[in-house]
Amino acid sequence: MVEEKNQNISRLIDGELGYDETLDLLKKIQSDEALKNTMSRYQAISQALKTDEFYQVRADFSRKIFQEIQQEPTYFLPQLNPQHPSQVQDKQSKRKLYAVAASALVAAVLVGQGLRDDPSANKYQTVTAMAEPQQQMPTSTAQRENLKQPDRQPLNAQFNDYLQAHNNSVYTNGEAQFQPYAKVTAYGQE
Amino acid sequence: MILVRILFTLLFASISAVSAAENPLTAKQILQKMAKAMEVSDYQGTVVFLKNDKLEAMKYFHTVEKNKEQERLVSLNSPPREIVRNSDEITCLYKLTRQVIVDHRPYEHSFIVDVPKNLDEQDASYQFEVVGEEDVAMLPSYVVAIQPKDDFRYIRKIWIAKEQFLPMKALVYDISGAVLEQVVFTEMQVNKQPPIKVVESAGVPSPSRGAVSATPSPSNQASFEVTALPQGFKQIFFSRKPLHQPDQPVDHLMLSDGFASVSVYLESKKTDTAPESRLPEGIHSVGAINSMSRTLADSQLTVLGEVPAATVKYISEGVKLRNSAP
Repeated sequence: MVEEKNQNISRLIDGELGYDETLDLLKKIQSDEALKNTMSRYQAISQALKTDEFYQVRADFSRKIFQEIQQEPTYFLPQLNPQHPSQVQDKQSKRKLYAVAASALVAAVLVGQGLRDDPSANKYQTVTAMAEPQQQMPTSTAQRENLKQPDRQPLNAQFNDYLQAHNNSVYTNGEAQFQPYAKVTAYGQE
Repeated sequence: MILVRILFTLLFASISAVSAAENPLTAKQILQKMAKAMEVSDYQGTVVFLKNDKLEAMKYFHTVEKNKEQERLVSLNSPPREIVRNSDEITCLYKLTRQVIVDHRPYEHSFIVDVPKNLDEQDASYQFEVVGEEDVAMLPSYVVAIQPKDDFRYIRKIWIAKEQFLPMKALVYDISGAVLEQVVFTEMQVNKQPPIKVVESAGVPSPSRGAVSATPSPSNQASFEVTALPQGFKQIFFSRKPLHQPDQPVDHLMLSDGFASVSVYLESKKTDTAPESRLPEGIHSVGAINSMSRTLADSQLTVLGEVPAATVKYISEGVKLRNSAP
């Protein structure tokens, strides 16, 4: 079982692992310190074999991507398809996982490319780019509710109508395509 | 004799200068001078709005002609549009779709910053202080902090050009000090008088334009009453008009404490509006705007404004239907 996981890590580093397998493996690596260390070792070995140089990637690479995802701006667009909150949460979880996978792969590609492109890079530094442990995942919806944060999910046309009637900020905040009822006229349309 | 006069003049001038240096302008005086300068000056520049996590850069023009003010904003980025304010009427032209939106806002005076006329009325709610001097767009400016005396409203700072007394920058902060909104001039020219813009309305059927006016009505015509308001908030505007559908009037009451405004909306839930188009119950937030929605009998009540979430919740809980049991 362990051997199989190690082989999968090797295949991941070589870019031979399938999409679903990659996601599955990264999930396991997040919660398993031993696997994390194995991946780190394999990455170091792989690069040592392929070239004489290492390219250092910051240890908090994945975490910073998590933070960026969390800080995504709120866009107040109408919801096209209403979904059950659990479905939304599932999708959000999947998106986060995809982002982890993407960040790990990007890190691997950057390392490889950096080695090819930058001959002046420091030799034999430790490669530390890897997925962050589960504890670093963004707080759940329930946790956020405990913090009494207002709901920041995208809202709907009714809210935009209210906002438009409230003040003139809709004219200056980029909400350029709003069309409030009884306030739109067209002239000379072809 | 002439020499004595000159000496006296010099003495008087030096005393005046020292006196002025010892008695600098107070924050309120600076804000009042700013409000006046905004009314009477012709100026233009490039202004950047950062609201709701969105950045919008626009050219701004302010013109006064025969005591009539006009503000004009021209977008620098797509979609191309031009927004003109003539007194209380705002017209927005979308150049690509050739659409015109006409809106009436008798309770707003500026796209940049609105300051109440009588600042003494705000003493119970806000504290005004000059907290420094900084350059904005290369113009030396006073930094005036408008600090709320309770947690019902946001903190504001306005940078005001020392020579022209025009607003160069305005920031809104939440209670923790995080910036929620920004309006900043990146360059400004004063006394360059652009001509008053006449909005092209050829072909716009006049009945449509007439239909958009929102004539204020007495607030006692509202089907609800607000029984609890934070210190300093007053009712300033009420209208009953359709916002979403032609047969669905919405009661809209505007409240303000001079700097922050809050809208209270009440509309019937007995409509064929799709559930997904309805605002979910509870507190919602976008940028500096917080809203609270709840059911009141067979109506939906929404309180929305650029105030903290606790404020919309407090106001919402104090709204009651008229002639109904508590």
